[in-house]
Amino acid sequence: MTSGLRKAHKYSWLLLAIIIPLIMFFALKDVSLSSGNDSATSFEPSKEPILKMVENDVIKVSLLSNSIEIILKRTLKNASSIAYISDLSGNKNQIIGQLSTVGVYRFNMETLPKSIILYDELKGELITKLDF
Amino acid sequence: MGLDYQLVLWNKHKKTYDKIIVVSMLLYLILFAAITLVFNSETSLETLVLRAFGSLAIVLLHVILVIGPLSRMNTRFLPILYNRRHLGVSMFITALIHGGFALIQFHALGDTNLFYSLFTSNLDYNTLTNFPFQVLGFFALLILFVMASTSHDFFLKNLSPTVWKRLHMLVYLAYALIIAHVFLGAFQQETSIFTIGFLIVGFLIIGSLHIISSFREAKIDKFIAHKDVQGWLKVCTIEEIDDDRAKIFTVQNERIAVFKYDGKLSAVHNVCKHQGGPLGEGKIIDGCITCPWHGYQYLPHNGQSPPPFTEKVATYELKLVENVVYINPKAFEEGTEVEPTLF
Repeated sequence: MTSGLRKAHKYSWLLLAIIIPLIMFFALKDVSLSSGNDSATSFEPSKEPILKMVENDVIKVSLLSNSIEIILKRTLKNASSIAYISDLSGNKNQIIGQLSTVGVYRFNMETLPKSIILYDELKGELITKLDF
Repeated sequence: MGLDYQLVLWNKHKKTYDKIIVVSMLLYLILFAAITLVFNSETSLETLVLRAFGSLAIVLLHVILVIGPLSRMNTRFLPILYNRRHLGVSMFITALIHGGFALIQFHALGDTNLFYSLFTSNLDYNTLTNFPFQVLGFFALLILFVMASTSHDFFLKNLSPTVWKRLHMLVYLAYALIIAHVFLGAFQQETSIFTIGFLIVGFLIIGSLHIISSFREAKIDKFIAHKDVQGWLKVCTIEEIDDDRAKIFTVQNERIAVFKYDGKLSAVHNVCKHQGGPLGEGKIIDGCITCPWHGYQYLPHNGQSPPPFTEKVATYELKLVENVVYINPKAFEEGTEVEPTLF
């Protein structure tokens, strides 16, 4: 190899020696090694007192003291199902998070939203809307 | 060495290594399927295929990445380096099966283009637990595709060894992307200390080998030769060079190999024209300097490949004072005849 290539090799690996452990650390920081489930989803609803609750045939939304719990009741056919805080006319205001399989999803939230929508970003269509 | 381009340049050794690669890959896949069915019998066929090929690609990538530094440290690994290209293409095919299957499985069943779906179905870039990890795997696969499709002497010759080598150094970026793909994807869904441990230990081994070997190389580059009054550099005594072998010296940022053979001394530029292999770590076979990486040959007195081949490397002038070897740091044009120094 030429001296330029030798230097490129050396600096590439010195850089990777910094970047890869950082990726590993931050990726595993919030992962529980004792559980197979990801941190956003579980199958057990919260035992915290529910401040307000609304539901339809797709989702059940419960407002807890400082978080919101969304239970996805059935598998959706939509490849992309994003939950948003919306106003009463259905305009998306703020992303809450993504829903995938059937289960209980919990997201931090301090104020009571007026309405929540599930929206398919791929098809650009509303899946469901719930008003509080 | 070959005069004509062939789709795959096979010889007896390469065929043997390729058989070992294919048999090992098949054994891994069978073993993976058997273990999965025993310990996790509810796994679907689609998941089994995805995991078997994905994990095989990662194992192969680890093997590929340790070959380079290992062969720099110990010449016994050189035969594996000689066959690394086929291993790289096999790894790409394995990764392609994993990536292609995942793309079809997760993105082809909707009413949008599967690539559009890949890039838009998850836009959660501000979280690590639900990061769009498939995109990282896609870009890694793209790099592996570029590398596999240019893994041929035609591209090596036409792109130039330096450009080709720089292009193929993108494998390090692909490795980082694959690590991120696995840690932000599979490990967020299903965590196992064994698989996490494998990748962490793998990284420690690969990273350490590369860094140790690069520092050893840098040490060679720091060699400072003493100049005599006419500007010639004193490099070593004649006894320090083994018969039919060379000693390598760094002169003005370039490495020079001084060969000792048949009672003669000759010096050539250390970098092989094929893939930049270290000529000075090769030996004289049939009167020719033979590159340890892929067997490219050059005549020691003029740096030219024997006819009908046309590769040429720069040559240098030597002089012997008593038993001390001096080198003129000014290189001659590639392929220039230089009378060997007799001893």
